[in-house]
Amino acid sequence: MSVPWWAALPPAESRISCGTEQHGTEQHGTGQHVIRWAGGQLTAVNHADAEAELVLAALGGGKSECVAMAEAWGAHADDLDVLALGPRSPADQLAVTWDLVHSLRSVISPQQAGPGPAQRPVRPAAGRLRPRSLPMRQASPEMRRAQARRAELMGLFALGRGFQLALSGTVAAAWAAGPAPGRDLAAARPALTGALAGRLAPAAASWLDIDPGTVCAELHDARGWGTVELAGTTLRAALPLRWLAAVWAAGCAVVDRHLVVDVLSVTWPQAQVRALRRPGAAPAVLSIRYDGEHWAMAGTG
Amino acid sequence: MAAGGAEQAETYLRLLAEAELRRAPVLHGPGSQPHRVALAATALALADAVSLGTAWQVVTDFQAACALRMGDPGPAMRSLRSPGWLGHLPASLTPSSRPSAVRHSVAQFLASTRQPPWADPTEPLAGGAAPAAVPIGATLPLPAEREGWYGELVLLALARTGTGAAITVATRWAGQTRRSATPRPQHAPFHEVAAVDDRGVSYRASLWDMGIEDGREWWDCHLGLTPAPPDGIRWLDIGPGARGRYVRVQVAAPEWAGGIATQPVPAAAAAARLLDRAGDELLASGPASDAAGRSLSDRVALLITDLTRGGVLAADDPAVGRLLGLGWRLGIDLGLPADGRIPRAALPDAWHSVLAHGDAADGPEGTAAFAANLPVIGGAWFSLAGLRSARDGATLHVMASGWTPHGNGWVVHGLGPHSHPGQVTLTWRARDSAGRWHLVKAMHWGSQQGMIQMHLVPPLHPAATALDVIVSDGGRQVSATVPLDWLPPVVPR
Repeated sequence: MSVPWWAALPPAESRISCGTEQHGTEQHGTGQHVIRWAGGQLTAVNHADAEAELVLAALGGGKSECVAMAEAWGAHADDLDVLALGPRSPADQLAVTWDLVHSLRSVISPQQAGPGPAQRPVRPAAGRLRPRSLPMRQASPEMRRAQARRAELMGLFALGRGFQLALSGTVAAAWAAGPAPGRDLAAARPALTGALAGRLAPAAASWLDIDPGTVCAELHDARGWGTVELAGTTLRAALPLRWLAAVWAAGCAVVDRHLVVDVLSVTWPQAQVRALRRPGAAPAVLSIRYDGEHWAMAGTG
Repeated sequence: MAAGGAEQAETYLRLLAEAELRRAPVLHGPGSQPHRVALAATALALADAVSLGTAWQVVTDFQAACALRMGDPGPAMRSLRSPGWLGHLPASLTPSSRPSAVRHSVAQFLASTRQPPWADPTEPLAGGAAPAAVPIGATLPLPAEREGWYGELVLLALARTGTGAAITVATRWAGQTRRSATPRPQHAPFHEVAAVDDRGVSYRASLWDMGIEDGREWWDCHLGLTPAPPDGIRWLDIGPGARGRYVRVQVAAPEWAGGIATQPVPAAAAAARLLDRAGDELLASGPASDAAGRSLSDRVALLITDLTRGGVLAADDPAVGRLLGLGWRLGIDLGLPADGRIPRAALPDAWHSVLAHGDAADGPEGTAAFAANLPVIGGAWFSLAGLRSARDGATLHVMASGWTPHGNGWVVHGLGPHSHPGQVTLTWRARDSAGRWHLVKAMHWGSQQGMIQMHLVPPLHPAATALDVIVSDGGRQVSATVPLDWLPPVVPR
């Protein structure tokens, strides 16, 4: 029995401005509310009954920013755009800010765009964004919904790096779980292969000090952790989608010159992993430990 | 479809996008120099290896990812807007079959129901009709304009459908009525003429495609007639020219002495035809010609790379081999291994001929009035409507119905929201009676749909008396032999 994919992912927390909304007889005040991701779940900490708020919102009530975020998280849980747009490596930083998200929202009409995050008038940051340059006008309803959905994803990315990784892991885990209604694995396979390759290549490059362009990756569908071999100057790797979720998203793809290929157990902040010292070698079981920023070797298992 | 399957082709495209993203490209939006992913997407889409919808989705994913790393949300949102040429939701992404993970990405495609304009119609487009052309072969002298310079219209052929009609024309300044130090005007002669038929009905005649004012000797253009002359009329008088002269055009098609042959050709995959077209482009335009910021030879090398690594064609596919062989003979590196040898017989006769005569500048100077109406091919109708030959090439006039040319944009611009992906459904070549082959270097089409000028290179052989115009759709070819009876030069006044 393998550990949950999220077991080695550090929890993430972010504060967002949550507007005043009427929820039944309660009124939540405007303020900085906490959004937390841990244990594979996103939680609106300051909203004790987010589910009830969602029901009320569906009945025509207002929707707070926190609850909208939680809803958006679920809506994007198998969204391949997350992997197409999200980060690839520690050095790969998305320049998504709240100013940017608010500006996007300000030029999208949520009334026409359908359900989405709460709108709030925000002045765009000077020099960062020119709403008039965005193609919002004369858009079809479908286009507006697509734009609203894209803006929603930008909002999730704006929560911060930890959330970006967690959301990426969530999507990879969803597709790794196998067939599901409305989820065509065969059609998505090229996108998933690209997602794997785009994240393995920089990791392998730092592992072996090689050109990431020499890394050739494919999805491993069979049982086991996969294979990593050096063929001439090409590193050929076959890894399961679970690697993206359990290893890469946890930030432990490469630990002390080892390529981690699977997470075996986690007793936070320590984990037992299966890792390769070099391509073609049998994987060893290592203990690694999270120091709050990085994973480092804790000793052999 | 790709030999390796659509999945392999799309996977290649996505891996290429990942590699390009690592290079942290700075994209400035649609422009004259497409990015690498757009070029590869174009190649794979035109080779029928991936659908246009898939190609566009990968391109927009890549552009959006780049945009988010630059902090510019514009492209990330703009990429959701489908280009005008992508007319409908690809069949592979119909609501019943598409994966949920892409449903929002393809939502953009749902808005329009138009057929992609690049699509290869299997039948002539609705509303299209077979054009009919008749030769004219007469010159209308024009009255003197500025400084006594007078021009002439050499009327080559009348081509018409039920909805449009045009006379193909070569025009020039023929002389000057008085001695003057004034140089010949830089622009084309312009003198308004009209037409009247045997029933006394008048038609407005307006010149199309006058060309740029570059001081050339001849201008190739079309004289559009409005309204289109109906069936049943016997002749048209075009004029007035100098001293009120008219030229009479017999509208009834005469018995044509030429020949038209239709024959099957070995079926070729779209990718193979794409490479053959690339070879034609290399020969006609030259390897060093500009292809959106890079040389055409570099662009063609990328094309080969994309089609072979994308699993569309094997590296030893004959189409790849002959293009590599052409590159070797042109002295350019298209990826032929150092020890690779492509036998001469692997290259088509047309390429050998153009290799041998590509630098010729011995074309006869003259105009030939002929007309040939081709049977339907590639779902379109064509009429050949005269030709003007010059030292460095020839201009062939064609009226098309059900087909719109897109030039070589496919190889230059790549797939973008504003650059049409083009089409490679038809291949045009010609061979003159002296055995010299000719390729289409450029197509020019003006505001009037259907009228096309094809610039053929190298020039016609000086001894050529006829020309075979060969159109192929990859499974069938139509060959029309037209006479090159040069019109006598007009004696200066």
